[in-house]
Amino acid sequence: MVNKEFIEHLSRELGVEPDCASVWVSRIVSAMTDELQKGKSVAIADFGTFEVKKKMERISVIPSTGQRVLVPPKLVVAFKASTSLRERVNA
Amino acid sequence: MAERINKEELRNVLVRNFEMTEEEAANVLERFFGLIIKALETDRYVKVKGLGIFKLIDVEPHRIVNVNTGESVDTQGYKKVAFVPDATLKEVVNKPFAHFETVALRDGVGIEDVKCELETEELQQDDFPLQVLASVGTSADQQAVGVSEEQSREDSVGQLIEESALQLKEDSVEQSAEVSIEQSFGKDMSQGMEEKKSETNQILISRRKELRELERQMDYEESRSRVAMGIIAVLLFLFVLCGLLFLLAPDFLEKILF
Repeated sequence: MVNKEFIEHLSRELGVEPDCASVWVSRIVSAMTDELQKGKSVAIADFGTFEVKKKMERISVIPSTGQRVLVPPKLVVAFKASTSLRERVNA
Repeated sequence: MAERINKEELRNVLVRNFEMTEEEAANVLERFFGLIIKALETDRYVKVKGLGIFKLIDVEPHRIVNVNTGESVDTQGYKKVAFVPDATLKEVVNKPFAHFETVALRDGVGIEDVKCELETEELQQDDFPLQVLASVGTSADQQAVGVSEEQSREDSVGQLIEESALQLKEDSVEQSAEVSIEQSFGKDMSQGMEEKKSETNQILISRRKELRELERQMDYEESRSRVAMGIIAVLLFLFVLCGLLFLLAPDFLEKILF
């Protein structure tokens, strides 16, 4: 399901125009982004946890050229599905 | 560790920032995550703009071996929820580290070099988090004091003690470095981006500097060996020239010499 279909489904469920649903989705996303940017985790019950994790600096090799490069450290968003979500998709 | 907010707090953020009513926000949130789950069940793939892609990945049944007991157990296949963050989300979250770039390394510079550099750098970096968080570091402080004592002893007493003291110092530095990294990461999250930026900046800059120095050293050695090769080549060339002259024009040589 791509973004457009997602918005359409959501608007139907909420009984509003797709434009309105799209605005709400972007609000939710921006709120979550803000919290994650502050380094907080966002835990949604029955869904999962979004968490910021730090990856350390490392040396990696480009397989095609054999060139070794120093990859800088970075912060990445990790998602861990809750137990109930895992059970639901496996049911 | 990092603070964690739940659905209710996320709802409050929505209410605060966008002037939505509480019921509205709660309803939208509920439907939003509910629909993602539903879409995962039906389509196995959902893309939400700005957030990322959720998809189901099949994990094949496989055999796992318990390392301790050596028993092997067959697992059942299952579906895993994978999340790939959107490029914008990725960028925003990685902002404090965004200015670092991947650097190509020369052949001779290895992970061992980086590791030994790490230790020395963290010796310098060590006092930074301690300055910021004076309250945290009683044990780390003691270690720091120990280090400086060992240093003063080094100066006065002979080589044997110096060596052992160095070893001790390295050990304590390693320990305190680990502690300080953890502390700094945890605290930074709550203390804001600026500090984190400057701190990681410092670590990275000094690390880069040492790598560059290593590379420069290698350059220097390379150029020295090249010069030596050049001189040998010139000498050989002269020698061959003399031999040729002697063979081809002995009369001419005789004239010049005698």
